[in-house]
Amino acid sequence: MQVISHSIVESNTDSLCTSLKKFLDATPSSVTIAYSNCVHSTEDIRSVLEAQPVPFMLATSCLGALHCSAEATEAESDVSVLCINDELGAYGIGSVDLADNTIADNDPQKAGAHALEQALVNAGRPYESPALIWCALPPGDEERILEGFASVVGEQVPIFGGSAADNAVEGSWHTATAHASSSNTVAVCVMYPSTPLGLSYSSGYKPTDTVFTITKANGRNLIELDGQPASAVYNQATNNLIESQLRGGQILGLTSSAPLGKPVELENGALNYLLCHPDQVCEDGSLNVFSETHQGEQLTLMEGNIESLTSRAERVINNAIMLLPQDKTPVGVLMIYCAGCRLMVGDAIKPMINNLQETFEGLPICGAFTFGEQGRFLDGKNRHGNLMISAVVFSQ
Amino acid sequence: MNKDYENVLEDLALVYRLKEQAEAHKKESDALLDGTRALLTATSEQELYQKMFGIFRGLYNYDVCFVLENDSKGKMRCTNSTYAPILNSLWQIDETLSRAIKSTPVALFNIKMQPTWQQHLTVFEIPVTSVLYCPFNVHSQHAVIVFCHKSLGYYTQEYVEMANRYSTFTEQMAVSVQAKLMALETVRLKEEKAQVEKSLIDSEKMASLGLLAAGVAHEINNPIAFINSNIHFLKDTLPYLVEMQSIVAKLARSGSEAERESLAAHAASWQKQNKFESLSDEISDICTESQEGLERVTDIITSLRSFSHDADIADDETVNVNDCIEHALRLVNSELKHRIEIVQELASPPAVKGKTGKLNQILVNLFVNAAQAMEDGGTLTITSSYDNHHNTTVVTVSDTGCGIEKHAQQKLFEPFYTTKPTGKGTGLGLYISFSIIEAMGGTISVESEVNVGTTFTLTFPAYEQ
Repeated sequence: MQVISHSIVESNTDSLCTSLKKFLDATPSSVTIAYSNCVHSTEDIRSVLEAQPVPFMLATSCLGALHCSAEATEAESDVSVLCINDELGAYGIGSVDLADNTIADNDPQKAGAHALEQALVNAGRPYESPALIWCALPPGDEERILEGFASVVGEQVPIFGGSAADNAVEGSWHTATAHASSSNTVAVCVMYPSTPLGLSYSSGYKPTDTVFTITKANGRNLIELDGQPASAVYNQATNNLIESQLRGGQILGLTSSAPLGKPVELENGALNYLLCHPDQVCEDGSLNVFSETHQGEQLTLMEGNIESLTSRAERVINNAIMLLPQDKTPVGVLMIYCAGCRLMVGDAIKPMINNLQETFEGLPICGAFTFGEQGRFLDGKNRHGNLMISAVVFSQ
Repeated sequence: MNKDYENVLEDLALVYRLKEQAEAHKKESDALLDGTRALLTATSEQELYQKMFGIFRGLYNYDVCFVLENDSKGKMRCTNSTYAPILNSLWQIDETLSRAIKSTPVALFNIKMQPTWQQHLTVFEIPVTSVLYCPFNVHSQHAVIVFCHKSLGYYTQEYVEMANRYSTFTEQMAVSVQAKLMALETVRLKEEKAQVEKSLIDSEKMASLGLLAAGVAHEINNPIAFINSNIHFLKDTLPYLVEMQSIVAKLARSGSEAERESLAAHAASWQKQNKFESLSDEISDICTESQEGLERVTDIITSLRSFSHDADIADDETVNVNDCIEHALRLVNSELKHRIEIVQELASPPAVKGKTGKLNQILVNLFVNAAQAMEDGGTLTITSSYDNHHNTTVVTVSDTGCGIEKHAQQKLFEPFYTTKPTGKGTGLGLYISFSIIEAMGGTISVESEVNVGTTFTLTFPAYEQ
């Protein structure tokens, strides 16, 4: 098992592609995971990846991608790549465009199932449980897509990944593989590494004493909290945090410090919180959030700050490393960092990545800033959440 | 609210994970202990597998578990299972099974889609869905133990890693199972060998008895014949004795002198006519002779009994070798007498431990062999002695017969080896003698020279009382 990461900062797409090709030509790989800034043509980058005889998946990341290695630290790379070279393992990529009516029929669950089946076949292990399902999903129906995955392999296989993101929540996100490329493409990679993986998924937020009950909701539209319009209740509880947008508008950046948390009781009796990020106030006073809500559920007002969110990255990677068997050492990391958190921490992202380089002694880390995070929560279930941070550590 | 709330939660989760690891180690240790106990107590292969399956249930929580062993090219056979209907079923070795055979555990999330499983699914009453293949070892051959669970995707890579963690245990279990199976097999083979040897000994004994039957019958018939003749004589003599008894009775009742004189004359006439003195001597001799004849018959029957009936005699019986020599000679007497001179040089060596019948069988075999080697007559010399240097009782049987060639001497104690013409010997006599003597802790050796003769030397540990 060998993991090599690389990043390119280049405003010119042609030059970017040339550099990427040069790197890929010189790097042996069993599978390539790449994240890019949506300002570049995903199709052009995809063409470079496609020219290699290596399965790949590509997704856009908010404000560029994350990269850290012994040689470089980048929070806003135009392309970040992780090449996993593992001749004794097996890897396969599958993808389905949600808009492809011949396969998905606009059914996210069906699309998830089909993409996964394709990936299993492409890995050469169509009936064998993978160690990990790594995904890049179009934002919107992640829960259904996860259900699609579970319908194929059951609920025990860990699913990690993130939803593709753009730079201004305007639908410019993109996912691509050798077989599909669009803003609606479900991309999935099944991994059967020859060495164990360490996995961690959590947030950097703590609960407050404020708890709401959802009295009216419709999927990702939170209509009422405690019997009142959700935006008003939320605004009051957060000391007028979204006062300026109460008549409707984008609040993604404003609410990153005060998301809502769904309490999840762990086996040991403790409560952990799956975060739900409000991103928009609708004209009717309801709130749009980035994950599903259900009437009757309780939501706790969470709080976070720049320090907790930047220190969280190190903690999450460290947790994943600690889960490796004692005789294994980490050789590379795939990381997902919520775009909301990324926007909130601002320039503090750079010292955070420098700190990762120093703490993990140049361990290759490739990551994306995403509009939704999928991972195995502390209760052992695969979940879709917001403002979450996750890490997959490869070992040898 | 603690500002490190999530850190505390994760620390708690870590503690729980460590606890789970510790529990897993304990589970493994318990399984090892249970496994060892099962191996120690199992008395058959079937029981062994039942116990092993029980141990694996605690580790893998399976609904059905079975063992696949290599059968033929590209095929494996189910040789043991918790679910009887799949026993003996043949399984195609596909890519996943092939990897499992080559020592990599494999987890399948849904075997209902897998071609290899298609032909077997209908056999299962429980709707098995997820499967874990683990490498195993049976009879030093690669095998696979298969765990089946009804839930979709139940067995994941975490179970594969667990199987890898438990591989030492599984290998140890496999090695132990193999060792136990071999031990059980050895016990079975030993029992079979003992049974076969007993059967051979009995067969050879019967063959010897057949060989001796004519001679023994002759030995018994002779005294029986003259006893019969003597009884006829006594029967014929009886009327005369009755007549004498009548004279004596009348004499006792006679009331006159004249009558007594007449009876005395009659008695004198009877005495003269029947030669009374010689008749009484003759009857006395006949009785003595008959008594001797019956004793000869009794001796032969006793020898026969001691030769053939030893089942009720313990192995640790002490045996007097001289008695055995006497019994054996009696049985082969008809084979030897007239043409072979028998020389006995018997000391009084210590008794040996064993069964009289078995030692008799050895000696009869050696005597018959000697007689057959001396078709034109010769001398059979039998000695018994005590070798105080080695504390052994020694018996030698020497003949002056045709001798045995050197190359034949080396194979003499091998089963089914014979120098006799077809139909004359089973080739088992000396092999069985060798086996019996070895079991008694003794030795048998041969020295022979062609046209000079052969000497067999038997040594037995002297029994110290």
